[in-house]
Amino acid sequence: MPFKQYTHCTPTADFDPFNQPLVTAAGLGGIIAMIAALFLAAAIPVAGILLVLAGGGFLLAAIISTFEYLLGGKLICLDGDKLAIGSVLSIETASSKSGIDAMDNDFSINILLCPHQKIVPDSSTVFEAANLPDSDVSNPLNFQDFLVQEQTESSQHGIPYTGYESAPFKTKTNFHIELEGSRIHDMYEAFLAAWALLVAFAIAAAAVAAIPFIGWLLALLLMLFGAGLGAAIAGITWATSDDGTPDDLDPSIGEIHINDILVSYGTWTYDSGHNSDLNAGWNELHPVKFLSRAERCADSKEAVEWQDKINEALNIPDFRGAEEKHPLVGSVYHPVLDGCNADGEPPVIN
Amino acid sequence: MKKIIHFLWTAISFLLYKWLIVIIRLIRRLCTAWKKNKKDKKEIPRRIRKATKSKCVPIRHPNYHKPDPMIYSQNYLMELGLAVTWDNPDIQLYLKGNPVSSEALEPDTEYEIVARCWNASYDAPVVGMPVTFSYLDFGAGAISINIGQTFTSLGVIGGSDNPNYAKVAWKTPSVAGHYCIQVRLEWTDDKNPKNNMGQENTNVVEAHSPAVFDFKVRNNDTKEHRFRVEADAYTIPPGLPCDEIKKLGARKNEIVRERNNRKNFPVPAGWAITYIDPVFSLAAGGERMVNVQVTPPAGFTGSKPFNFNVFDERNVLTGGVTATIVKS
Repeated sequence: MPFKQYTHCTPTADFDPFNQPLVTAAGLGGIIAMIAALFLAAAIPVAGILLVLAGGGFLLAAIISTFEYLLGGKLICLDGDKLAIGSVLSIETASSKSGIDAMDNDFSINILLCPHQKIVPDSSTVFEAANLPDSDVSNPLNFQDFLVQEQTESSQHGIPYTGYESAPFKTKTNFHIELEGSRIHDMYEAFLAAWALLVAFAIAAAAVAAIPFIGWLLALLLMLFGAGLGAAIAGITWATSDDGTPDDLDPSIGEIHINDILVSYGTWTYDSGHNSDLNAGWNELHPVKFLSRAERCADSKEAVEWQDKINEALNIPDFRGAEEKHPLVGSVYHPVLDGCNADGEPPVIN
Repeated sequence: MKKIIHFLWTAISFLLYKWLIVIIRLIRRLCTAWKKNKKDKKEIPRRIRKATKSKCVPIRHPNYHKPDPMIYSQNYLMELGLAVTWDNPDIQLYLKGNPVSSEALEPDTEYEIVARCWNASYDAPVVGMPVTFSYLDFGAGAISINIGQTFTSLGVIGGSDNPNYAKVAWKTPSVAGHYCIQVRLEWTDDKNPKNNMGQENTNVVEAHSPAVFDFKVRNNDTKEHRFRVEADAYTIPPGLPCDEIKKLGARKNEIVRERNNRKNFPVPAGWAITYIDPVFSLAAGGERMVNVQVTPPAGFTGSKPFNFNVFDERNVLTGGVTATIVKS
């Protein structure tokens, strides 16, 4: 069964905190250099083109650094794929984000890990630390509490661990899981395309800037056109990126309610994306590769069964449309009525 | 003239200074909005700002999956236009490890009921699914009496444990009788919740010219309905070999519908089936016995199963029984 994934996590040995001032300086410096190159090109065309290339290089470095960080650099790999079962505490849809935050159009859910329950039962759409039990990994019943414990993979970097998403949640049993939207990935590609266009137009602009009298005007028009084209690519990509509600999916899917029991399976990571602005960091499943509702909180034995069955579903070949001799493949009514059985007989109950 | 002066003044004032007023106003608004946003961000924690206010949120992410646990469900198949048998291929009773028919159960005896459960999903397994067993007094639509509940797990299509078997022990009531066994697969987030309830309801009637039996019909709805009983001679046809299914291609569903079309299984010529009241009304919660007489053709020996399906005036299947008429 295929699943959508746009990010990757970074092994702890390769993790570097994001240097925002440096990246911002590189990006702005690159743009300024490209504009300055036009004036320089009017006097010395070759020097102007070289400055365009240098500025373009800085800009590209800034773009790559930013998006590689967003698409994986900020996530430290913990211990592979994990299962997390719990009740829904709150839901963060892509549409609930605004401004630059909306670049990340992941669909996030906060769950209370099984077997824990809220201290005071409620169906509120938000949660408070005071209403959540503390984790206790020494109790074997709390077989999932390790998911919200600080791990050496992150602690060795001296970055904060707060739980999601501030200090009061450090000892709590709420766990953050994210189904990925495509916007960051799509915008990365759009920015690279826009960058390529901008550099190409800047080179052309530097070349025409040397033309007497009208050269500067032509260069300006070319740069404006290139910038406009790049902005259009980025804007259209932003507007059309998939935030997890594509129209081509089965309309019968689905609804999530507060307090529903969810079974999620995905990559266990530490998210360092808010180390700087919130002085916070937490463990999460990112991306969630499989999500489904369950009838009840699982115990450790049932959790193993979930994990085995989900792994099987994720790795088994997709038989849709295949000639696999299984009674359910292609069955519309019931396998006894329309299933293909290798023996030509309905499968016998046993 | 006034209008011309107004037009000119508007143009001149905007050219001279009003454009600046508009821009200043715009900047003020932006500043106010920015300050409010900053204040909100400071005062309201991020997790609360980002949380949706709705307690129920639609989700269509491609990594979110719904399973489709299913069993041979008479109501669902009939709704799809297929004939049904009440001799359910997914429900089997065992006595001391040996399969037995549900039509002649001993009183006060412990049986094992086995339900074969399927999952018609390529993506979503099921773990810990409650399977509820119950029984009715012989007949259609009576109130369910609980037998017990067990839990089962189902893999995806092509995976392990699909089908899987849910088993429960059942001690029959001390009074002899006939029972319709019901099995319900309980999964809230089910891609198709219509195919979750299967029934096993069979009877064997000796034909003493004619074969006579009766069964109970109950109106479980909150409104009065008019019911009718229809008989057919449908049995599940032999399975199609894989090669044949492959050859059918896009025509497969049409062929399957035809092979299981109730119109193709009428009561055979020479058989006579009569009811004391072929059509009757029942108030909400009301129930009554339906008496059936089946007269085999002269010289008939052997056994012949018939399905007696009860429909209301909306053609909704209410229940039924498969009765096998035997004559030696």
